[in-house]
Amino acid sequence: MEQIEMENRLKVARVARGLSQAELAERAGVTRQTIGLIEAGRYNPSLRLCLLLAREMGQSLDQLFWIKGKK
Amino acid sequence: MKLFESHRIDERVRSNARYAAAILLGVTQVLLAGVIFFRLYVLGQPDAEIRDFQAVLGISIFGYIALQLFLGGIFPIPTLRGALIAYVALTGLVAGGCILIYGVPPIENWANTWLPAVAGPAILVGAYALLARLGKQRLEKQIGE
Repeated sequence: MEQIEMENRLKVARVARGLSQAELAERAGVTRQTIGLIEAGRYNPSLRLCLLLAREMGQSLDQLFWIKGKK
Repeated sequence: MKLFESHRIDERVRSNARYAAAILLGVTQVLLAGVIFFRLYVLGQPDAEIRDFQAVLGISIFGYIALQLFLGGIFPIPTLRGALIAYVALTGLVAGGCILIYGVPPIENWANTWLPAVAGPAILVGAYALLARLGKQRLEKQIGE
């Protein structure tokens, strides 16, 4: 199976909303470390978490997450 | 007074826990096999003294494979002909190998020689077919819901 890498603009969206990593983590029900790793591209979240984060950021899924090189 | 930061179990933590468990399961099985070989061939302990270790290792390895077969639900279910061919080939391999190494066993000792060689592969092939079928049925039921 082809290995795909995911990219995101979670950090940009979070900062634009004036939220800290800890605050976003609290809202999404995950740890601050998980948010940090997602932003750093070191952890690929599940679809459920992607949707949760997109909802919290007030953006659509594809605005926040995409496959590397496809945007 | 707060002594620890509050912690939360999220999907990443659970995923890491599963990963760690899988690695440690493999390490435990290899170490247990090492202990069995060491006791058998270095310390020269009799087979009967390590039966408990063998049982634990057997349950761990076959339990893992069985669970994978059941939960995966993607393993091919053998036809009756396929199962028979697998059984004959496996029995031939086990019996042939043992006869080559130890010679033809006396018929009066059949319970410890012929029986395991004939029944063992039947149990293995049967268990595989059953688990593959049950796993597939479980998955198809979930898809149908």
